[in-house]
Amino acid sequence: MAILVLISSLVVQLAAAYSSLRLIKVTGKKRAWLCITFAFVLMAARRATTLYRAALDLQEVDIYAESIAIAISLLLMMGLLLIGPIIHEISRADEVAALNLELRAAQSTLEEQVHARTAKLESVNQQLQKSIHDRERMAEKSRIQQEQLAHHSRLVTMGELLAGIAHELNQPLSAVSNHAAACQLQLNHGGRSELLASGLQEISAAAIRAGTIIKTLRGFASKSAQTRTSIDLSRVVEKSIKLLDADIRSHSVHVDMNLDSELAPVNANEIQMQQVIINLVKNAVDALREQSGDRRVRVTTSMADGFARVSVVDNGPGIDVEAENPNALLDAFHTTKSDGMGIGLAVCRSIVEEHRGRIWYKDNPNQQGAAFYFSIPPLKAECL
Amino acid sequence: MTSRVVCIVDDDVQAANSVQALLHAAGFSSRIFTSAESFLDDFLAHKPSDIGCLILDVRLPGMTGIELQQEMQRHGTEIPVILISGHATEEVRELGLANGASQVFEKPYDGLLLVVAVRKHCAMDD
Repeated sequence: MAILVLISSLVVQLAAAYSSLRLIKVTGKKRAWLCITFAFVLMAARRATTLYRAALDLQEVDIYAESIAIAISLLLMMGLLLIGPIIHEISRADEVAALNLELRAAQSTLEEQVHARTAKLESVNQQLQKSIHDRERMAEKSRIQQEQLAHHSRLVTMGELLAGIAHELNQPLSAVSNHAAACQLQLNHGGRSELLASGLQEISAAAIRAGTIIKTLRGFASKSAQTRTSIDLSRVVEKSIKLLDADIRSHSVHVDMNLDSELAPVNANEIQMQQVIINLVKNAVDALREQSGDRRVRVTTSMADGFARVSVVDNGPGIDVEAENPNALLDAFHTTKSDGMGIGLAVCRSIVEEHRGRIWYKDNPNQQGAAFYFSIPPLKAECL
Repeated sequence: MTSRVVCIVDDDVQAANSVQALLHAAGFSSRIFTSAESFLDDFLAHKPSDIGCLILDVRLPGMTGIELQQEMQRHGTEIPVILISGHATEEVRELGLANGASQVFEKPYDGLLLVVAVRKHCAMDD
């Protein structure tokens, strides 16, 4: 019986030592638990010694004391077994706290990163907006400059036409003067009122004619507002030729107009369209200046490939396409004239292209002279 | 009252008509030609003897007023010429007078002075 108690006590104490050893793993507090383990091992060793001596009948075993010792050892071991999960929980709480801390740190790092990224994105966005704004401003500036150049070019053209236009104005003015003098003579001789009336009517008509010339001129010289309206290019050709009339006549040029009365209207700035036509016709007239014999310019309007097309063809010397790059003809500062600036056609091109049209040079189909064409999309096609 | 005919050469019909109206009011009859060539053709074809004077625009399509003057001189005609120019520069004036123009008017001019000039050449049979 005593031997049995001693063996139980030994087993319990070794188990307690083992439990204590296990707690090292759970808590990580090596030294504390090693001390306790060692104490249990010592107690187990004492039991083993007692067991050995009892077995050889060298020692009396106090069963009562040994039973209490087993109970104490059992309680201690249970305590150790119970303390394990508590310590585990505590350490887990610590871990959770540590994890929480880490999480919070990670969170704040993430937030910082998000902030940084957002700031970077915002700055990129701002740069982008600035660049868009800059580009818009540049486009606007370029448009204004183009308009100024077109206006300047119109003024230059007008300067060139001025002598002719002055002559043109002189015609109705001298008609006014003549009819007024005629009326005066009629009055002096007690003239009939119907003659006076017809004279006065002529005066009025001539004054209106002079006014029309000035109006056309003023329109052409004005800084064109960006207003585009539905216009008929055939009518614009007629108006343009009127402005050029004196120039055409003084160079003894015959202008044939072959105008399509059914031409589709285009959405365009009338003054700028006039400018293009005047430029092309004036170039043709200038090219004929040195020509002896027949001097002809044919201005044609037609529908071609769904576009309203204007062509200006002369029977002059033409352009030496071998020497001249036909594509360069429409570039700025490119001129075949001895006194030219090379601006006219470049302005024509920028005007036509701004109207989503096309301008080009082609050899005169009749093998003589120059032929310029431009086309503008019709109003309907543009709406689509 | 009869007088010699005044020939007006001007390609601007409105301007030519106004000269004709003025001359009519002053008691002259006139004929209008819208080009130097048409006048010359008519003149050479009919050799009219009733022309009192020629009112000639300098700037004309084709043959100019000055060229017509020279052409007339070549044909030995002595019709007095009154030149009218839109822009009577010294050069035009000298050239016109050298080619036998009696007077050079610059547009716009006083119509009554033109009548005086015409009256000088077209002796009235009254």
